[in-house]
Amino acid sequence: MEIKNRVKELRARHSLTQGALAEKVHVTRQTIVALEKGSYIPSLLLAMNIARTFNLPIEDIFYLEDEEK
Amino acid sequence: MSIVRNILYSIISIVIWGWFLSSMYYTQMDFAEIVLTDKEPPWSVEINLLPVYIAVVVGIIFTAITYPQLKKKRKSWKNVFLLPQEFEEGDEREKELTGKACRASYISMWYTFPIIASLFLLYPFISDKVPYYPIILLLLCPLTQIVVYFITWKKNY
Repeated sequence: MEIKNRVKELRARHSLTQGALAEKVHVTRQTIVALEKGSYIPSLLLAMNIARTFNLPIEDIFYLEDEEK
Repeated sequence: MSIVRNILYSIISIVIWGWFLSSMYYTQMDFAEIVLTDKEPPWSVEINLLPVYIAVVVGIIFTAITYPQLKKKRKSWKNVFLLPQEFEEGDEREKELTGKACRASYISMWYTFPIIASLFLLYPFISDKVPYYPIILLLLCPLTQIVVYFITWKKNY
């Protein structure tokens, strides 16, 4: 099972650059890059901060691969 | 890029430190002979100050370049001076990477330490030509650990 995310898609929808999102959630831009590539699984705190930035519940952004809609 | 530069600074610092200690070793050998043979004054010893000058100049240059950047990243001056400069802990992912790199570096110690300790057995054969051989061997320990730290960091970055 793998945790996937829709951060790239949501970031584009909100017209946010990787740097701008990184600043909003207090991480480095490289962390957003790694997160979008799927090479980094964020902590619950970071996931909640991202969810709050996009005004969505966490499970709408992060999901297990075999639970993909 | 900054980690590459910071790792290079650490390696250069250790090499200069090793050079300084190696040249000081000759001075200490002369001084020990004076003390052990209870030589009557006046006596003198020679000190090679070139590595000291180079260490001071390089140290000032490295500090001038890295201090402003590290101060911005680490906020407190204590963290700037007390933590190794290759430590990047700007956010949770970098903290995790640092953890992984430290783990690999610690594991590498268990492989390099017995090898380096065994290399001391060669000392009796080269003690006349390279009296500062133990200093080089001891400094190989941090050097290998830094290299392993760097490789692990880059691999996971």
